[in-house]
Amino acid sequence: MSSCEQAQSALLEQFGAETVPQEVVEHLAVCPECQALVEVLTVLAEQSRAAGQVTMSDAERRDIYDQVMARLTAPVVTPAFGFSWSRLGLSAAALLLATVIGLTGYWLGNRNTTQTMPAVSSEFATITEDQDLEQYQPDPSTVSLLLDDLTTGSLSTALDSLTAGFTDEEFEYLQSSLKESDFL
Amino acid sequence: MPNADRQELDRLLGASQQGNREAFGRLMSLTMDRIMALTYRLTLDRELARDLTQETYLSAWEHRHDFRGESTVLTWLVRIATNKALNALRDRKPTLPIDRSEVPAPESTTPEQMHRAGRLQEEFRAFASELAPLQRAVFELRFYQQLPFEQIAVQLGRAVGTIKATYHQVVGKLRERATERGWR
Repeated sequence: MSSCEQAQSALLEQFGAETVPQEVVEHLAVCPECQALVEVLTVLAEQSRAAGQVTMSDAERRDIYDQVMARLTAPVVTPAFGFSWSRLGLSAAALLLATVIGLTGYWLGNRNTTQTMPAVSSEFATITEDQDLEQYQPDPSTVSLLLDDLTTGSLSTALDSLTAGFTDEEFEYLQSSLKESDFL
Repeated sequence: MPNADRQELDRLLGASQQGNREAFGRLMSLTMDRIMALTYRLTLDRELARDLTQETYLSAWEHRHDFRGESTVLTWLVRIATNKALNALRDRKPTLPIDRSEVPAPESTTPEQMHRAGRLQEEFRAFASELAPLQRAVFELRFYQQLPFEQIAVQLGRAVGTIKATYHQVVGKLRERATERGWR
């Protein structure tokens, strides 16, 4: 080790270590200044060790131990229907409903007729074959109503509501449309 | 802390991986003082340090199967505790009040020594509270936990050079403070 700068850098790096770095030993033998630094750092390390001591009481130790063990032994409660699954289910159902609305609109438009259905389907009454299906957007309130049915009841309730005014023939047509779309 | 034998800790963690809670409890007893000291020195908040110690063990239990023996069990626990403490510090105000409560006085033989040791501890905590969380973590892991710079760099996600420079900086500040206050 040639210079005081290098020696002091090595000493700082090894601060707190039990021994002086080997590469510094030779330099220390001929450099009182760095030797003095070693003594200062040694005392400082001892002081830091003492000052950094943290003593735990038995009660404190026991408290932490008991709390951890209680958590380890507590039965794990798994919700019957996890939140993420419910969100996923709702999202899938919403997608299905949006598709049903779209297909229904397409079907009603193709029939060139007006049809009034109870509950949610009044907007479909205005759909005719002249309408471009690509531009068809269900009224948000209709979707909202369907989703209300879905969240307060079930998918079948919502579909019942949607198809309540259908004749058997219309219902069969809807079913076959859904089958063609791989929904059923 | 009782000087826990490395093999004993390995054995206890192995048993814990088999689901043995008693073994985990024993492992906790053998290492708790050290983990608590680490979390306290990093946060300077006794209550928070207790919580973090608990969380460290709960996390260790939860992830016990992830331990592959690439480090010692103690180093693994130190890593978990350090990450938890740094996360907690990140979520808190940048400057922490110095917690002077419930810190047992250091063991000393005479009232004069007790007074001096108590004053030193207080001054040391004041010094630590002025350090940035990264500086505190580097000093903790290097000085108190005696980890190699390379390992600290990996754990803290910084370059080795940055870690060494940070350690130099902290030791330099510590020297200045000791000189200013006449720590003797």
